[in-house]
Amino acid sequence: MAELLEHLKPLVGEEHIAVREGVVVVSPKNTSEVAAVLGFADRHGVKVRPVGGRTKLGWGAACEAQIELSLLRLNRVVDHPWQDLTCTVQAGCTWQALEDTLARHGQFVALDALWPEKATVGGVCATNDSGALRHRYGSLRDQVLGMTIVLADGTIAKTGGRVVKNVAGYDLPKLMVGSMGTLAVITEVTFRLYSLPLHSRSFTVAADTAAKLAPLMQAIRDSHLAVQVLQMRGDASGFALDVEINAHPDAGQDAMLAEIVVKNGLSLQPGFWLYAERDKLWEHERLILKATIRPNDLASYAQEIVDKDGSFVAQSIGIVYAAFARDETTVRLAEEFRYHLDLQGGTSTVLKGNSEMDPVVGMSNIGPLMQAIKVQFDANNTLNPLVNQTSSQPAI
Amino acid sequence: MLSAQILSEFRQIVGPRGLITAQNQLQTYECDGLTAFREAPAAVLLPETTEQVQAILRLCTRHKVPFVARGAGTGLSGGALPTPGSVVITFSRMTRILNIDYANHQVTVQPGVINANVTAAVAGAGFFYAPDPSSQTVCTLGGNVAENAGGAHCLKYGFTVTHVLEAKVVLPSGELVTLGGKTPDAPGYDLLGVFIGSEGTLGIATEMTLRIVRKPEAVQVLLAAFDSIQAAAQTVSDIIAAGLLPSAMEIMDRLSIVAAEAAVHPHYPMCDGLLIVEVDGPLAEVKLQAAQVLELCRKNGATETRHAVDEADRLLIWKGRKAAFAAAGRLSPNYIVQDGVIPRTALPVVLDKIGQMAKAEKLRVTNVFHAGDGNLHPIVLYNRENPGEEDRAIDLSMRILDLCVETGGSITGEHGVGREKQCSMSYMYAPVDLETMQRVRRAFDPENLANPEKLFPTPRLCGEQSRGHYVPHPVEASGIAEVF
Repeated sequence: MAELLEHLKPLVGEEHIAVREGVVVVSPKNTSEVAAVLGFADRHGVKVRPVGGRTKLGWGAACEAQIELSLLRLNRVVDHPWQDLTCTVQAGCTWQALEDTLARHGQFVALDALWPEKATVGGVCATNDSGALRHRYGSLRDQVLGMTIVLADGTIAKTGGRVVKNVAGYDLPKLMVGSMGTLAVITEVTFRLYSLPLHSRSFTVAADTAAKLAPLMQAIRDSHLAVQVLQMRGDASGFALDVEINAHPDAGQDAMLAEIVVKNGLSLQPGFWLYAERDKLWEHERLILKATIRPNDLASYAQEIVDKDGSFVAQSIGIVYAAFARDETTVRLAEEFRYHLDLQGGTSTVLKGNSEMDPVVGMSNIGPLMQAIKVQFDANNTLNPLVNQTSSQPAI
Repeated sequence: MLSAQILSEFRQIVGPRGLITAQNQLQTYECDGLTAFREAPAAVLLPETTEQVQAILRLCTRHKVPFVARGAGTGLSGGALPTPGSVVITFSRMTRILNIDYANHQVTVQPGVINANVTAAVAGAGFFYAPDPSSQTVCTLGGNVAENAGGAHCLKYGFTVTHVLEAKVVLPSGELVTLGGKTPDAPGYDLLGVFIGSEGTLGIATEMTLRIVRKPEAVQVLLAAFDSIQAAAQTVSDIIAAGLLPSAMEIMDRLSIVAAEAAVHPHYPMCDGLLIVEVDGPLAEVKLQAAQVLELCRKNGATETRHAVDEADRLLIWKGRKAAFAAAGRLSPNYIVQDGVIPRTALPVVLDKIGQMAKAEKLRVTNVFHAGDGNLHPIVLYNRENPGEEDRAIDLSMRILDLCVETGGSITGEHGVGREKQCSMSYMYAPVDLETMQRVRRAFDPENLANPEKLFPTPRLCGEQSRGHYVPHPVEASGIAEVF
C-alpha cells in the first residue's frame, strides 16, 4: 500500500490521493492524469475501479480493486454550441449540473437518470441508465455522439464526433455505453440535445390488475398520440399506468387520450411527478432487478412480480425495474420470476442486492465475443475486475 | 485465383446455381455505385440460408480466402468493391420478410430485402420503416445495416442504428451469434451498435429484426425558394434554434433543381436555394409548426413558398429530391457525389467556401443535401475526356471533406468510408484512435478476412494513391512494413 501511494503521488499530487476502506482513492484532474494512473496500474498488475458519484457501484456485478479512480475533478461542461444542439462535457460532471447548464438555452439531454444530483455523466454512460423518457427519445446510446476514453494501458483515444450524423469508422461510444467501466475510462462525452418539452401533461389510470391496463397500454402505443412517457407501475396496493403527452394543447390530445381510456373501461386522472417512481424502488434495502421483455408480454410479468410480493416500475417499450424483499422466500420467488422470463426470451440483471444470484440471466451467445473484446481493450484485466477472477465473463 | 478444390466445396454448399465463376458474369460484381474503383472477384456466391453463409465463411477462414458481402450494390463509397482474390457473397436469394409482429412494432427480415418493401409490407396496418436512403426502392437492408444508412428522415427518426433491434450475425469463423435482442437493452456489450456501420468488416448479418414506426396522424411538406443557398441554410439553423424538430429538412441548389425537373418533373420553384421542410405529428400541431416554419422562411427572404396540396404532390416532391443524384448525369457526363457532415451552424460559411473552391478549379459543384443534419452532398461535375479533369474533380471532392473535418464535422454521414475515403480517415482520426477501432476488428475477425482493405487506411492503398491523405501506418512507421 505504502509503495503504491509513493508511486501515485507524482502522477496526481499527494493531496489528491486518499485511502478509504483499504482502497486507494485517486482523483486525477484531466484525461492525461487518468492515462498516467491507468498506465501505471496496468504495468504493475494493480486493479482499478473507475467511479463518479458512486451511485451505481455493483450494477451488473461486484468488483474489487486496489485503486478507485475518481473522476469527480473532471467536472466541467466543456462546450455547449446550443444552436447546433450538441454539448461536450467531462465525465465527472453531475447529471444535474449538466442539465442546469443546458436548460439556460431551453435544452436537455433526453434522459432521466437516477439520482441526478450525485450521479455523474461518466457513470450514467457506463451503466447505460435510462428511465421514463426512453419511450420518446430512445436509449442513452442514441444520445451520445462522441467520447474521449482512456484504455487500460493508458492509451487516450477519441471516438465518434461532434455532429449528429457520422458513420466514419466503428461507433465505439455505443460499445462504451453500458460496458460498466470494464473496457476503458470515459473522460469526456459529446451529447446530442433536444429542446425541453413545452407542453407536457401527465395523467394516471389506476386498476386492480395489470391485465386491465394491458389493452389500454397497447391502444396508446398504437395510437397517434404524441406520448412522451408510457409507464406502468404496481405493488401490493394496485397498478397504475402513467401517460405523459407532449403536444400543443390545441391539438386536442387530452380528449383523445380520455376517449381511449374510457373505451377500455377505465378512468383518467391528472398525473403527478411520475419520474420519481423509479427512484422509490431503491428507498429500502431490497433486491433490485432490471428485466427486459417484449412490450406485449409486459402486463403478465408485471402481475407476476406483484403476485410474488414484489413491486415494479416499467417502461412500455419493455424495460422493467423490479424490487423484492431480501428475505429467503421472496428471493426464491424472484428467481422463479427470472426463470419464467428467460423461457420467454426476456433477460434480467441484478442491480442491487444478492451476490448469490447469477448477475445476468438470458444473455445471448455472445460471451466468447465479449471476452475477446475485453482482452483486446484490457488484456491484463485491470479495469473493474470481477471478484471471482476465474469467471470467463467480464464484470458486466 | 481459387483452386478447383475450393470452388468444388463452394458448389457443394450453395449448389451449381449459387456459384458464379464465368468471367463475363463476374464483371457485374466488379464495383458498386462507386464505379471509379473496379476489381473482379474470384467467385460470387448466392447463399439461400444462414447455414450456407456459415459454411461459406468456415471454408473462407480455413483457406484464408477474403470475402465481401454485397446487397444491391448501391453503396457509394466502394464498400462492396471486391478485394483481390476475394469471393463476393450476395444476398439476392435471401429476400424474405420472415415475421411481422405488429403488437411489438417489429419486423424480421433477411438481408436481401429491399428497404422500401418493409414499409410496403406494413403500410396497410398504419406503420412504416423510418430510415429512407435515396436509393430505398432498390437498396437492401443488409447493405443499410453494413453502412448504417441514413436518409431524409434521420433528422427526427434517427438512422439505421436506431431502428435495428437484433441481428443474427455469422462471424468470419462461421460461428452464429445474436447481437442485440427482441427486447431492449440486451445484457452485455452493445456489439450490435458497433456492428451496424462496420461496413462488412466484422461479419455478415443474415437475419435482422427492425423497429417499425406508427404513421403520424398528419404530414405536411413545405417548399421555400430563396435567392441564395446561404439564406436557405440560415433558415434551417433558425428552425432548429426555435426548438422545432421537422421530420426532414433538405436543400437543393439551382443546378440540382434543373436536373431533378428534367428527370421527374417535381414542379419545384426555380431558384438558387430551395428548402424542403417536412413536419409530421398530430394534425393541429403540424399546422402550428408549418406556420412557424413559413414565418422563419419569410424572415430569411423567401421569394416563394408553397405546400404539398395532397399526398400525391408530397410524394412527387420527394421523388424529385431522391432522384437528384442520378439526375446529375443530365448535367455532366461524369460526377462525384461526396458525403460530408458539418455542424449545422457552419452551413452558410462552408457552402460559400465550396463555391469559391469550385470556381478556383473551374469546375461546377451542385449541392443537394440533408440540411437538418448538416449532411452535405456536394456533387462535383466533370468530364473524364478532358485531360486532368477527373483528377482535379477527385482532389476537389477530397478537399471539401477536409473542410468538413476542419469545421468539427465528419468525412461521411451516411455513405460510409469504404475504399473511397479510407485515406481520409487519417485526417479525421489520429493513429491511436484508428488503432483503438482495430481492437474491435481483431476480436471479431482475427484473420482479417471480412472485407479487408476497406474503412481503415492501409500503407499499400494509401501509399499507391496520388491523392487523399497519406499518413504512415503504425506498422510502416515502426519499420515492419514499407510502401512500394
